[in-house]
Amino acid sequence: MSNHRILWIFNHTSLRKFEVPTLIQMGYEVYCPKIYDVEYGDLSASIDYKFDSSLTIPDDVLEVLNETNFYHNLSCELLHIINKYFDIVFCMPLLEPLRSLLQGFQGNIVLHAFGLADDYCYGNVLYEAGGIQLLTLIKRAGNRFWFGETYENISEIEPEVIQRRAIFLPIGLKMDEKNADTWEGGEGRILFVGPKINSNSYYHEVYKNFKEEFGMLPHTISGAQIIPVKDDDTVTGFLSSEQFHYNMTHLAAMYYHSQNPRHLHYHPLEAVLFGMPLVYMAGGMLDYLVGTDFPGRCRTKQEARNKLKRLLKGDKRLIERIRKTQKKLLYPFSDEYCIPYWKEALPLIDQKQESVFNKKKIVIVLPAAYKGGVLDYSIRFTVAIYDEDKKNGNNLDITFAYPSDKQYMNDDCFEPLKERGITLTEYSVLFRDKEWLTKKYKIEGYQPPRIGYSFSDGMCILDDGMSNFENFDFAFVMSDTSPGISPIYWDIPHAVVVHDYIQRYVSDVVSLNANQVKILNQNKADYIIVTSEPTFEDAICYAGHSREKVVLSPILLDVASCKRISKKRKPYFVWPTNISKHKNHIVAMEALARYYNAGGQLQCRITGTFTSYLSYDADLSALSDDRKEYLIQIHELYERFPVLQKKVKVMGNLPKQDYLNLLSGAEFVFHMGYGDNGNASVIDAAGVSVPALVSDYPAMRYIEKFSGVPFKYVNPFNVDDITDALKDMEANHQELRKKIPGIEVLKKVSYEYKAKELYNVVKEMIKV
Amino acid sequence: MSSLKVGIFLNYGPKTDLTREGLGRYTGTLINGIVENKNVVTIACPKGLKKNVEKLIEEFHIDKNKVLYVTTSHIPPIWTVYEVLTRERKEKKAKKSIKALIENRIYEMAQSESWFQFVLHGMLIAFLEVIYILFIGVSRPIMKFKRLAGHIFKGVVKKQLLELPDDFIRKLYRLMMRRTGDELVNRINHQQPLDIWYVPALFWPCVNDIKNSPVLINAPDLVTEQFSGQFASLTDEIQTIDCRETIKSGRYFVTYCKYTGKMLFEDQYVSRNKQWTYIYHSNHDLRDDVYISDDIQKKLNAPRNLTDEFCKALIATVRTNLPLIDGKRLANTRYIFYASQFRPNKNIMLLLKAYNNLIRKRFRHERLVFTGNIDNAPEAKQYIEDNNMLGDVVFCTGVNAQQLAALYQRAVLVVNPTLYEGGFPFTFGEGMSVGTPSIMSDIPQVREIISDEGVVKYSLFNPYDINDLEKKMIWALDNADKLYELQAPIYKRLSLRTDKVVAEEYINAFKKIIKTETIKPM
Repeated sequence: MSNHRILWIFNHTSLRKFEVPTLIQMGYEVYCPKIYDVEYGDLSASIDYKFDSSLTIPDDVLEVLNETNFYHNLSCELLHIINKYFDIVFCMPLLEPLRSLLQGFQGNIVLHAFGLADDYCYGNVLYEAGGIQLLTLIKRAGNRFWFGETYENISEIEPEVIQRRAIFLPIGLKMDEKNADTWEGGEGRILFVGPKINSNSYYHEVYKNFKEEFGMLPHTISGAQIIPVKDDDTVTGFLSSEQFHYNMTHLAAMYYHSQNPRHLHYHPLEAVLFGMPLVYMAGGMLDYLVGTDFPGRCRTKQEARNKLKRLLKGDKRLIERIRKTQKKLLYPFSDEYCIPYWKEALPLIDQKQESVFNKKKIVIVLPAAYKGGVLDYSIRFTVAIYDEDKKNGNNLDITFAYPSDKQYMNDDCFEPLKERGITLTEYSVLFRDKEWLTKKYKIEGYQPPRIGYSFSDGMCILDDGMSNFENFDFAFVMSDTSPGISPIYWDIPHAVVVHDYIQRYVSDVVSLNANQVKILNQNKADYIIVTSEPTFEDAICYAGHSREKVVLSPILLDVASCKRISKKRKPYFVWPTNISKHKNHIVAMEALARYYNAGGQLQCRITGTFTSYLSYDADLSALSDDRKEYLIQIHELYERFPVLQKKVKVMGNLPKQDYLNLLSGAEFVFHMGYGDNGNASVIDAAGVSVPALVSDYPAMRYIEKFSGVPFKYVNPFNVDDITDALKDMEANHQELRKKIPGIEVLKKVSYEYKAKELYNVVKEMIKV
Repeated sequence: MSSLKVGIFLNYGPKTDLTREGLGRYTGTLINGIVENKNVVTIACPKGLKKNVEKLIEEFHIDKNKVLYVTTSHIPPIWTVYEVLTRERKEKKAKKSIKALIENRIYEMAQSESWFQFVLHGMLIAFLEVIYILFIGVSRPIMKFKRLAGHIFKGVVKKQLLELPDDFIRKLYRLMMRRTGDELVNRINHQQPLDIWYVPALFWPCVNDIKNSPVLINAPDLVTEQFSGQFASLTDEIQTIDCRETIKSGRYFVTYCKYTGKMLFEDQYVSRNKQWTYIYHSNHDLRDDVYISDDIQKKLNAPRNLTDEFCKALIATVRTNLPLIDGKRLANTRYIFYASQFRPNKNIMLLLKAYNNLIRKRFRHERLVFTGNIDNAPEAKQYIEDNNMLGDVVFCTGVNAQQLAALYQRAVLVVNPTLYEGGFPFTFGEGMSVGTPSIMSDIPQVREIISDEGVVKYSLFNPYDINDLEKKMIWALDNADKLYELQAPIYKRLSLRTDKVVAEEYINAFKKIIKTETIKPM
């Protein structure tokens, strides 16, 4: 066998000492990471360059690998290298690298498992870290995935999908043989290993219990402490190797507490090697490995105390009995025992995999019957991905899914998709409860023990009448809304686009329940896509997502060119809006009234969805109560300020071309809303060289930064400021107009130009 | 006088978790300081409180051998009743597990291979059913009785005996505590006299009946009198009356700052026969709870700031009032922090209102995080609901010392809007010790410590002026590093006030009183 390579993503020192040389001896080349994250309590990690010499990969590739942190998301570029040079990857149950590998590595993946506390299983860890999507990926990986367990009883409690891929890779211990049997005794203290007392709740508990149960015996507690333990002289903290060696050779005995059936610490075995008498509790891993017939084994704490007391007194008979028999405890960790299993397992793992990745199937989902901005965004998103993918070798099979709704019956809004031959799928919504999901998981073989809070009130299933998108590789959901009152359930990895967190800034626009559903949809997603820095900040600060999960992607602007109409009878400005409260009509209209009363000349023309209701003579009877209540307040302004009736003209929702024509004849655009993700009509306006007077809030500042179009800002809560700004714009809009970049420059921020950037974002999520 | 025998009087009631209460923690640091100075401490407390005191001793790593106890002879039945009534119920669980057992038996029965097994399982099921029925039979009437008793209590006691049952319960509580207090004083008077008794609170006028040793009483404040309106709807008047009684009949007092001492003993109460002094708080240094030293980071070859990582991990274990923002998510956010009990003088409504403007009008991103249970702040709860701020404001409950340190460490800014305090607020030192600066109310208690106008300008705000708070918050959020630098010299000075230093000041105060007493003509 030549040039079969293993990427071994661990930095654990004693693990490396056994596994890497064993693999090399078996004929593999093995790469070990040079950069690692120390979790705040990880005390046993290190770096070793020595095994690089086993590698026959080019130096520049080795250099790249040596600069990579493999404990995070692995980029497409890196996966490309791994695919090219490696056949097997050994890794930990860490969400990001494991997900990247399952999505993008063509070879064999060994999830190496060392056992967890009590009945906690790896299925659980994976589910909590990556949701059901991660288990789906494991299931789909089929025989590319292996659950490399170091003790054969670990998989006993795992879900079926993991259990059936279990392979026994026993953990060998390479101990320094020159230490063997060097124990002399003589110090009247027992040794207890209790690291991380103040930084890990498990060890804190272990420490407390030890103190309570054995504290009366003279003792020393060793183990590294990252937060010092005050007022306990028995806790040693970090020890030099000499001190460590002294303890292991001179202290009377070691006590080992763990009764964990699926995990064993290193130190009791070390004591056995040194020949130090080991007193340990029954019911733990040692029972499972070597049986129960050992004099150091104790069924009760009382028994352990008695034995320890005898050892402290120097009871020679007991000392010798324990020392003589306990050697057998080391056998399951010896080369003699372990290596045959590895020799048997590796050929099974190391199968040449057919290229499993053809085209990746992705679905872009419109999660509710949108009409305005979100629909436009979704179409542009799909078109941009499709066009860019074509340029990049056609890796994707794209479907666009939309809800069954009568507004899409005759609409030609999907025309750009149809033109490109993108599959369109209509779905309806089903509601399912928690019991259904539990059963589904059991049937699938996932059996996670708890479904948790997210779906406790049920869930929406998007039903396309076929497989409900379960056969896709990835879903892009175009907003965080649900089509119902519960979050959407997804089996597959998915990203959710979050346009804004307006619920934070404008009370009442999103109900409490709707907000909850939004956040649940976000929480369950693999990635959150945002299109502005302020929304990015909110995704972190408000929703509490980790920075790794949130991805900033470009705004998808449509920069339409249209000739500017220069002649007009009555000069006007355009107010593009809708009837949502955050558009700030009350303040804006009061400012308008003051502006006109002070001799303002420009007419105001309102356009946008549902804006016909803003007309002073509109019939509101068709509206819901809370909408009506708000609009009545606006209508009252017409009564209070009759000048508005004359000067404000409502154009309603206009077809695109008419809207552009309207814009192109305007002196400026007026946008007084706030709290959302910004208003793109200011860019439509810039396309026809029309400047904008806008509210000062972070999203608009970001649009200015993104597009290079300068705006005039005003405080949206201050009527006087707005009035003054209107007057100022009337007089000076020409100056601002001059600063608007030309159409050729503007085009560079259009979605067609930003497609590549978006595609790169998407690519990293699906790993193509 | 070499080593002193100091008594500490802690007549707190059931379920008082001293490790969580500010005053309890303060007492902990004091005991620590006294013991470290080679003195012996005797703690007088009700028998039922002893285990909580021991917990405090343990949490402060105090040498148990240097702490003696005087306790009441027994735990009053009403104490136990109170503890039992506030315990969580477990009945539902038991019911569920019996049900599951029966279900399992039925499955086993279905798989029986012989009639013998089948019948055996059948009998087992019948037996379990009987237990289940018995359980229901017993637990239901108990539940019903409880409910009935509740109705009777509410119907009869509430409607016919008293207007406010809460007050009634509080009064019962006080009566119980007066009894335990009297018994403690009686026991103290019958044992060997100590050099001095120290009383950390004003609630127990009975301490003035201690005859065999001088008594130094800590007078934190009479805050209820300052905010009588708000406290009247929160609590009864007895506590305040007791406090006043203690002041009137007491002789030696210590306060946490000059301002409160002057107010209580010079402006309000006739101070003839009284002596008072003030001792500033010790600095609450939280650094040791979470700080991972550079030395250790180097040993671990750590590529990142491990203290920060550790704090994130600690916050991930914090319980919050919002299921959507659990500790794990909170650990990712940027937030403004205020750790405090909810009392009328804490002025949290101003902070909430200013924060509302910060989000809604200034479009800031930071969250607001409190420690404590939102249910204890009904007004705030209402405001948060009315203004749809439920997702923005987080309350962390049951926070332990390490979690508290972590919450401070990860905060961008500490804001303390208090209107009145016994002394300089702890929040400043707690934040600064882990690198987080504070802005705080401009009140005399704060001015005693922060007087440099250059620092005042950015650090203090008028606690009655929302605009001032808003402006200062925004500046501080944008310039947290600068603010930290600005406040660092003050903190440096403050950090010299270790527990040991403050304990020494107390010991000096003790000695002074002992001296006065010994030369006093009998």
